Amino acid sequence: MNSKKNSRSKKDSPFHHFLYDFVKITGSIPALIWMRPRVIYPGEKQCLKGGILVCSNHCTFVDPILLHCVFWQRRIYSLATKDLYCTKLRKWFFSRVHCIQVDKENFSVNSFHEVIHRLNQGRMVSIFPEGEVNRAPEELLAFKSGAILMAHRAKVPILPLYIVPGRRWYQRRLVLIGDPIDVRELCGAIPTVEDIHRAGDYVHQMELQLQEYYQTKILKNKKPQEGEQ
Amino acid sequence: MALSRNEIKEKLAEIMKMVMHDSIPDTAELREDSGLVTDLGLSSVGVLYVVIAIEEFFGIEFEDVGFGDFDTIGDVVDYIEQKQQA
Repeated sequence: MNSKKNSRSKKDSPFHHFLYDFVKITGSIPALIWMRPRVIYPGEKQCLKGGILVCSNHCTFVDPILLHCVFWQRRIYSLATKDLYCTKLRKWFFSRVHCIQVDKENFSVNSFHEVIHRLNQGRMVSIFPEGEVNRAPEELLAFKSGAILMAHRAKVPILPLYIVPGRRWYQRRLVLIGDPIDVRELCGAIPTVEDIHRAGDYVHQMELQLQEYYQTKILKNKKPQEGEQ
Repeated sequence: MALSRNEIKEKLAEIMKMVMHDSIPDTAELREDSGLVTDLGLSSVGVLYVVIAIEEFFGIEFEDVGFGDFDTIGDVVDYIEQKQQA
């Protein structure tokens, strides 16, 4: 195989993280007060270093902010739908707060390369494989397998994460983090499309296990609060 | 050195075989008008995977294209030819 040219080999500007860090630092205090995220590791607590692809369910539009609170010590690149880039100001803002633009209808190869580039840089990238905000978050939607392909190409693990859907906007947010999944171990060095889809199903299964853990081990032991069923 | 259209098609058939394994029809049946999604049954992820594999095999980089931009095998061959000439 020939070596590939990489248009993303250029270095980031020294101010690449400036707006991101500014927004994260100034926004983290109100966000932490509002969400008060509690993180639970049903398995072993993970020391998350290097490139990693976080795959989470998507219950509300504030989930990306919640992820930034959960992994407050790391800079996260998030995939953001093209619809968010509708004005010049928004385009400017989102491109400077580490969002990677994706077109859900016609996924661009450039977006794919950008994700791989960031993962290879040792960054954390978050993705919502359900593809949209789930309006009935108690039932997970099917996962799109693009995340598997990204993790496989970048040779990084996938971190399954389950955000417990909140019933009230002011409620404390609960997040369950599973064990990292080695995609290359799961589907081999040169997988077929079928292997990729199978690995996608496996990640979905891991997500369901986290949901089940919450329902059987945490929710059952929790005292019912006012207004909760 | 730029490959001829036939050589590109042969390499493409190899890639398709690697990517789809047994679920692909006989590579000899790969025609230029074969639809990636409609005839070969590739999903959107499958098309993306093919594109990534092509980049590695041919040493080219796809720019400003999405998986929806390639309907048939012929479209892919055209794009590779175009990139080789550029």
